[in-house]
Amino acid sequence: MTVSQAISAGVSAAWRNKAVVSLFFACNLLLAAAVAAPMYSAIANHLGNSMTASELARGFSASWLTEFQLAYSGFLKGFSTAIVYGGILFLVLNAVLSAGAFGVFSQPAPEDGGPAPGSLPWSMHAFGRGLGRFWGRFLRLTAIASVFYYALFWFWAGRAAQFNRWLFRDSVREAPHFYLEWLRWGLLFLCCFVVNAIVDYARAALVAHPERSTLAALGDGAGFVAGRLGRVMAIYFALGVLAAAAVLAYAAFARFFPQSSVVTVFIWFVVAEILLWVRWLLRLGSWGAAVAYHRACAGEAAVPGGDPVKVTP
Amino acid sequence: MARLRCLLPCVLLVALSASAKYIPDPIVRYKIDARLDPAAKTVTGHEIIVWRNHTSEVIPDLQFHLYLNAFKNGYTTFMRESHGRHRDSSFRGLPGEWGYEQISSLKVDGQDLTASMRFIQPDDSNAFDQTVLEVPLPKPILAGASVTIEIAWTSKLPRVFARTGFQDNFFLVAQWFPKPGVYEAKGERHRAEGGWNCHQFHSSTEFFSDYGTWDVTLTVPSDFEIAATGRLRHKHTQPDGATAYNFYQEDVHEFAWTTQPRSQVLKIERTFKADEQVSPAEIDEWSRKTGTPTEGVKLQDVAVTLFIQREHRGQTDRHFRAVFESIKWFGLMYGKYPYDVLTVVDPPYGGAGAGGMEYPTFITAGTSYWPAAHKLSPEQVIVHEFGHQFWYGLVGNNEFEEAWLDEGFNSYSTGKVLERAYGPNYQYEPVCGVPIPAQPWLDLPVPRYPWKGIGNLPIGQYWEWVPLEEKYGRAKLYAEDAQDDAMERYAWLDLDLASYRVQAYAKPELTLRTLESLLGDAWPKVIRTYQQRWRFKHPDAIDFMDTVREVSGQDMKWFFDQTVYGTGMLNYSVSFTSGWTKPGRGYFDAGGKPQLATNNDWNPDEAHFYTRPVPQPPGTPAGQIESEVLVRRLGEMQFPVTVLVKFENGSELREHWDGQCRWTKFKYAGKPKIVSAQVDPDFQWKLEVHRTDDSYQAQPVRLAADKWYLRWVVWIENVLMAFSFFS
Repeated sequence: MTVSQAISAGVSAAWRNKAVVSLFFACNLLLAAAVAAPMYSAIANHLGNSMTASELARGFSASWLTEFQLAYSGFLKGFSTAIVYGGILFLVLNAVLSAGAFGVFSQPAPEDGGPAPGSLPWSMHAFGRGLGRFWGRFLRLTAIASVFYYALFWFWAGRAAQFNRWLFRDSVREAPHFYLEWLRWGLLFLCCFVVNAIVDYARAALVAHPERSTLAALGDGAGFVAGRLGRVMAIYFALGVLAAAAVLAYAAFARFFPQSSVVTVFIWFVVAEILLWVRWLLRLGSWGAAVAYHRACAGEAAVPGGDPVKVTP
Repeated sequence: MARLRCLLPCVLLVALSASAKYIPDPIVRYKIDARLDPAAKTVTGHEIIVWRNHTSEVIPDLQFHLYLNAFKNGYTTFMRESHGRHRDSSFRGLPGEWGYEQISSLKVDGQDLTASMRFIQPDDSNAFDQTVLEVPLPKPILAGASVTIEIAWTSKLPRVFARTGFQDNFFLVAQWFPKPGVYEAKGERHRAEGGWNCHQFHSSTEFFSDYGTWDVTLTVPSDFEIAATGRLRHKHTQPDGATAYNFYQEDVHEFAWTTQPRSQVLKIERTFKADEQVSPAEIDEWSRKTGTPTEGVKLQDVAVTLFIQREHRGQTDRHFRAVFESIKWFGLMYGKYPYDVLTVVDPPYGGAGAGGMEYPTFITAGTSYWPAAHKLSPEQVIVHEFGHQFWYGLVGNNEFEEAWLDEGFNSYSTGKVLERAYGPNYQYEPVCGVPIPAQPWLDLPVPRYPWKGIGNLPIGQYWEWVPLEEKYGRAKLYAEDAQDDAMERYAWLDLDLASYRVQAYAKPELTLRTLESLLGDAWPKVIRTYQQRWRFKHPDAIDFMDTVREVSGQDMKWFFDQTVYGTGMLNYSVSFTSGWTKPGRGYFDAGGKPQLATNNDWNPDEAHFYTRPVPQPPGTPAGQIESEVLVRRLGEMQFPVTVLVKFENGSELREHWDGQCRWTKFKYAGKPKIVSAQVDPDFQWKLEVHRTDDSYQAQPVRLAADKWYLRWVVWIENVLMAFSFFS
């Protein structure tokens, strides 16, 4: 299976199961709305009947932001903590929900005349089965991956950064340090993507072989990624470029589209949410691509050294 | 021999005079010969100073600044106060990184007084601080007399973290030689008694010295490039692989220089041509604004030398544009830059401690390898440091005792110049602290994250078109720390560094912007007169205030007492109620007799005014709209304010209040309902610390909270999505 075939299969699978995508999107939106809720009353209370509210409705006021930060510094500190806790909660929730998503992408077509693949009943049924079956092992995978991420950040964002600073402590030229910093950041991101890929393919291995343990699946995923690193990364980066395009599209829209009335704020918000939904589609598409690519490569490897043949599960 | 000693000052006076343009008879003249040893990081020098007692007093001693001794050890006043940090630079304290000034020989009029030297600590009695040297004289200096001082010394340069020092083979050499302090006569700067003004070097203070002439010869390796205060007169290559460069400058009070291997740095020269840079229309405009004849507004050509790191050469045009805009706008506002040379130094990576500093005709800027085109760095620092040519360089205030007279004036001026040169809205926040290339497509802002970050983590710094005045006014710094000290306070006595920054930079800038609003069209003339009148002199705050009173014709004592000498804040608020009068109850005269009126609509729990008209009982006054505007003074500053009241029918009223009491009310009967009220509608009071409560409208606008809440939702959705990547 080629990279483009894998991407196409994954995004198509996600598109067919829009309900699942919407579920992730809805959880994201609802949790964000809940975390942000105290900010609404803080802003409204601070503005009161002030005419500054009209200025903020039309545009932005740096002096208001200064005053707000000073008047609500304690609140903002607690608010920032709430965002971090919300992020951790969503991380766990996402790990659990991904079990359902992988369950959907790994399901074969029913042969007994049941709901058609991609229909809402079929999607939700498959989602629930996957969620119930794999949530525990997916959580364990997340916990193991967090150790890897910690190590990566400890090394690349900590030690390597210190080393880079030490290396050029007496230098008068910035260029070598500057480009080494880019390399450092690039390697950090690359390593994070590799770990992410290993986890995704471990999940794909789990749903393909539910009898395996978490560690066995992790080994399978690591070996799979190591043996096909180029193509795996190509799938990730292609989908990442598409997601970045969605971000830039939002940035351009937000920059130039006025948000100064009820209608324009509503339109802006709807467009922002649509683009976020698209990014969730791409996110789940990457999982679908992992499942499809893992399944295809597992079938191709049936005859060592020979032509790849399909293996009927 | 005695005759020779008497002749020496005369010879030197003749040699050094060269008919200085602005100060024909300066207090001090320097002839310095110095040699740099790049390996040892030392400068060995010999100076001859002719110092004149310009007062009518008899002076029994001499006092000198030895600033480099601030870096001698960890117990000096500077190191104790700074804890080894200056701005964003840290001092590592490794063995080769300390600095000092060591005098090997000091003679006055030929008499060796080396043994008589002693260090004094006039500010804090810290015996380890050796930044002020006192030399008692066997014969006092009579009024009007001069002495010739010969000093041989060695300066060990520190690793640069606080303005002066080295980084590898880059050297920024400032405050590097024994320099006489300033002797002030009784009455000068309003002193009660005459005496030396020679403070120790503190972490939050800068410098103060007399104007003079400088004839300085610097010997550096021949493969080094060099730049310095003043103009290069001649150079001489020596057989030992070194080259001696002679620089000369009059009418300045400081001399700094820099040198670095030619392989690392470029020296680029361009000329600011006044006729090309300034149009006749601009000359006319500023002639009118400042009340100055056209000839007095015209600028002169300036030879500008840029000392730029080779890896930054792509930013050459940005540097020159910033310098030329500065020469132009500072010149038009305050009078032409009077020197014909200017050097701009770009310190290298690792030498940032030398950046952002000013010396007469010599400034240091600082940039990074690949700065974003729209970020105005290095432009901001160049404009600011050039501005110090006017505030500190030409108007030589005492930076120890009245830092706000140069930093505050310059902060105000820098904001003005940046607005004119680069437009009022060219200011961004950095993005997550990550260096990004300056490509045009990155001018597109990221989603408008509404807040600076989470804790200290700069996630989602907002990237908005922030008006320069709101950012450069440093409103946040002012609001947080303005009450800790007064502007008119010795800098090292401020509570902490944050307070110093407010009192020296933010509050004076806001004060001057407020004063500008108050004085209106008179302001350009006021500030230009102050600049021109006090050039090449040492004014104090009273001199500035006297100039304001004289030129504007207004007594601003009430303003200066509260802003310069006070620690109060300016804070007003406004609110109003507006509605129909309650129906009448009780006895009202009808037909000459009191008649009891009752009304079932009356409810004691209702608000003072009704939201709708209600029928009035017979004999009672007809119902009408009554309104009340409440203005409160929440801060300690008592400023007269204007209150703009707008009514439903479109009419408006401007009320005035002197702000003396804590509140006042404006009542209206029979007028339409009030729709809005605003204190200081013309935004005169830049010092106002809380603008949000300066206005009030009948109906709150909920769209603002809705919109910004939704922005927060979108932002947090992005954050949560980022977290989910790690699941």
